Amino acid sequence: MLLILAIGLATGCVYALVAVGYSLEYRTTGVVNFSEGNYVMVGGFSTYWFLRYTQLPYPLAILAGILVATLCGIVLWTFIVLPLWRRRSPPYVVLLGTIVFGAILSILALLLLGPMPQTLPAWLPGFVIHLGDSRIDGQYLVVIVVTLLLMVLIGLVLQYTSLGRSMRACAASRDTSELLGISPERMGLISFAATAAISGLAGALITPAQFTSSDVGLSYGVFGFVAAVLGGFGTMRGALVGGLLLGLVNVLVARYISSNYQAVIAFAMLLLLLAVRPQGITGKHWEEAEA
Amino acid sequence: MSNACPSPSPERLEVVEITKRFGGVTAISSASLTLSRGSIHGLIGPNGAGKSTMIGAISGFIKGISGAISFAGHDLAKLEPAAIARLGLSRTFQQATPIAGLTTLENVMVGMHIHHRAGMGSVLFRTPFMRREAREMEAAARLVLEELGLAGEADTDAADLPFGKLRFLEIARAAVMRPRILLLDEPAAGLNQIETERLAHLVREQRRQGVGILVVDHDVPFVFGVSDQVTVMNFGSVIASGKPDEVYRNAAVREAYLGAQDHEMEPV
Amino acid sequence: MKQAKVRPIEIAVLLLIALICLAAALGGSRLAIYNLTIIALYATVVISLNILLGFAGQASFAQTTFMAIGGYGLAILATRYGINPWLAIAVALALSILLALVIGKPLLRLRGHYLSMGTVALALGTASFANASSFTNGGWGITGIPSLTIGDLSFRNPAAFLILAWSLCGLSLLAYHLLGNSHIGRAWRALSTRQDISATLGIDVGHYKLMALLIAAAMASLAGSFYVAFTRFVGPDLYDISVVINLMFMLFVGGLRSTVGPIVGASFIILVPQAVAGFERYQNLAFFALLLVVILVRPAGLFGRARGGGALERLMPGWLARLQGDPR
Repeated sequence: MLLILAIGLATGCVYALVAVGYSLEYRTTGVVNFSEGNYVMVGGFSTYWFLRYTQLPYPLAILAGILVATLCGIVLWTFIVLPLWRRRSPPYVVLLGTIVFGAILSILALLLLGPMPQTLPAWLPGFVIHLGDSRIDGQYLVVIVVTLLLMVLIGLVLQYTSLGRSMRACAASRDTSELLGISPERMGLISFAATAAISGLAGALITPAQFTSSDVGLSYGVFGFVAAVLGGFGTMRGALVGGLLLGLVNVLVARYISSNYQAVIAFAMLLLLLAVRPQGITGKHWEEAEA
Repeated sequence: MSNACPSPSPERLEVVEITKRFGGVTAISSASLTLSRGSIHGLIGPNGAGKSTMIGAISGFIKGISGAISFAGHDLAKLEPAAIARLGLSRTFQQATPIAGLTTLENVMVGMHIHHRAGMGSVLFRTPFMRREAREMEAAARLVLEELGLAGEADTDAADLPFGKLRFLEIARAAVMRPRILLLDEPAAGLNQIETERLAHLVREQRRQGVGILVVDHDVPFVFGVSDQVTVMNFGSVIASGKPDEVYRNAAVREAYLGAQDHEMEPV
Repeated sequence: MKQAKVRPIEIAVLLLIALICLAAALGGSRLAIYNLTIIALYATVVISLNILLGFAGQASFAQTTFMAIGGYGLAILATRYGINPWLAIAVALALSILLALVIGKPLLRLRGHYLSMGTVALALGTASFANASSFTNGGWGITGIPSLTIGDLSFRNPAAFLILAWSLCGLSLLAYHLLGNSHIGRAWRALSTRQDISATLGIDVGHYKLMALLIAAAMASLAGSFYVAFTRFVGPDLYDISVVINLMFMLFVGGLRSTVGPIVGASFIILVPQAVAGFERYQNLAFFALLLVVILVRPAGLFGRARGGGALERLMPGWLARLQGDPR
């Protein structure tokens, strides 16, 4: 039972971090980036590559993996989103652009690293929790703790640093912040890079506990998205609440019904939510959901 | 643009002591106003006097009003803008609101939408009824454009129109709805002398056809020149209301406009 | 005046397509006939999207849900209950329209991104359900769907089905054209651009949005039914996320609100993967790379009308352009 809780919360943390990514990017640039989940895959997979094929010690390999994910985010922004953004393309075109980019990342991973799922060593080797009869892989706890720390950190940055203030200004109004000397394009770049890094880190965190392969990006992307909307699209608190909730629901569905039904139940929840309370569980909606 | 014979009915827009507060600011306080069909009622006042709030409240855009707004027996305070429009009240906006991506002609024709009777079936089967209706609507719309000097821009994207023409498009679109009440929000803003005269002519023509028009504007000579009744607001309250020359002589009104030259108050 | 103008080049393309179809029907290879039929049916769905998104501005990703009702409806009613296939298609159509009526009003109240999210959820949920449920025979799908017949004429002959499919596509295009050039099309465009102003002009926005959804649902349902009648098989893969995305790609590549766009877009998305199959391992990559090029170079689609083109220079980020002396 406790194992289920651990798995649910840990995967929930990954969803939460992906959801944070969606929210941050959306609020700063108005773009929904459907390749968000792929950075999780890139983070985990590149870390694996660095560990396997270079002499880098594990911590540095993780950093390198995160760096690769960040680079992907920068590429997406600079070469796809920004040109479309500048031309004021309709939102669904930008959306399609991000989808294509995500698909390309997935294919590249498949070509470069093969179809076999891979895993990573635990962050704290030998860390296993004994609670009663249960034996829980300590990595799950690592995921949860690091995620919470990260979210606190993000909250602090947004609240107290000038960078954070600039991002919040941009989120509030692109035109006004331009008048204040903040460059929305630079903010966009930073938010796309930062969220890619965050998701990359999530990948490095969760891979030791589960596997990673070239196609996990879609699943994390979709569930992360559902989590973001469940909690309240565009809000940090919502991302965490939605993510943890969905993580728990998913693992319970897998355990007591069937993993085939995870997606159905997740989407049913989403539809129900949008019908009844589109601003999400936390109710702190970023914008009016209804016309 | 002709109505069927203007109804002599006592359909009146009655605004009775409405108050609206935005946070700590009182935008309108106990303001009243009556507008009959077939007449023009001017509303003037300095910035922040509550004029826009008045139009917003009547047209249903501003809610949370205490007091009563009624037209022909309907309580407008409870209704959404679309429902109010269907009752026969149309309005223009301070900032011109052309529908981009549609031409000038199409913009006007959108204003005529409520007059279309043909349904989806008629359209899909291209019935003679639908075709005739479409022809008639287009002809009527083109006529309106002629009358307002917009005929040359019929096929231009409405968003590309120069400022003065945008204003006339705005009014044309509201007028082709053949409303019973027309609310004009600063229609003369930015117009030159000739355009203002054309506007006055247009407004009088609407009155002739039995429309009740509320004209909110800063151009005092223009408002005084066309109105049958004038209401003056300041700081959210009505400080005077009556025939133009009565209001012109009113001391409180003169005081509110202290600093403005006398000749600005001369009716056109 | 007309929101669905047909440009001369589009007429030329349509004639060309008609000729190709005729040639294929008379003596084309099985693959050619198969491709053309599939293109026609997908194009029908894209035309419905062209109405729903192109005219009425509703970015709904849930057309696959209605395709699924059409497809599974035919399959289940015909195989499990022995109902005449044509009747089954009609029943499925009625069900699709009913669903659109029921979920339409609340769904279409959602704005922009939330509508997209809701409809993505609906689409993916439908596919997941089809995969998981025993009612739809889960991942196995349903086979043995009887072929369509009219009297003695059986549509088992692929060439005959080709004509049927293109008839559906042609009728859809006609409906698109008639509606688009009418006051209904104008009302859609108005509410798509300025919903607030449209309301003050007396247009019942909710009613018109729902109308667009109903038409789109009907077209998608029929296309879905015919597809399944053609391949005699239905399975959840027919409605999964890649199809959802492909439909959007088809719409986009062809060009929003272009008459011939849906057909061109459908052709592109269906034929290009076959063309790059020679790249073997790299074929998927080639496909997406090509798609990316189209997005960046022709952001309004191949037949779209954009204000401002897609000159390559604008691809460069500001700092790069400034390096080259462009004072942007």
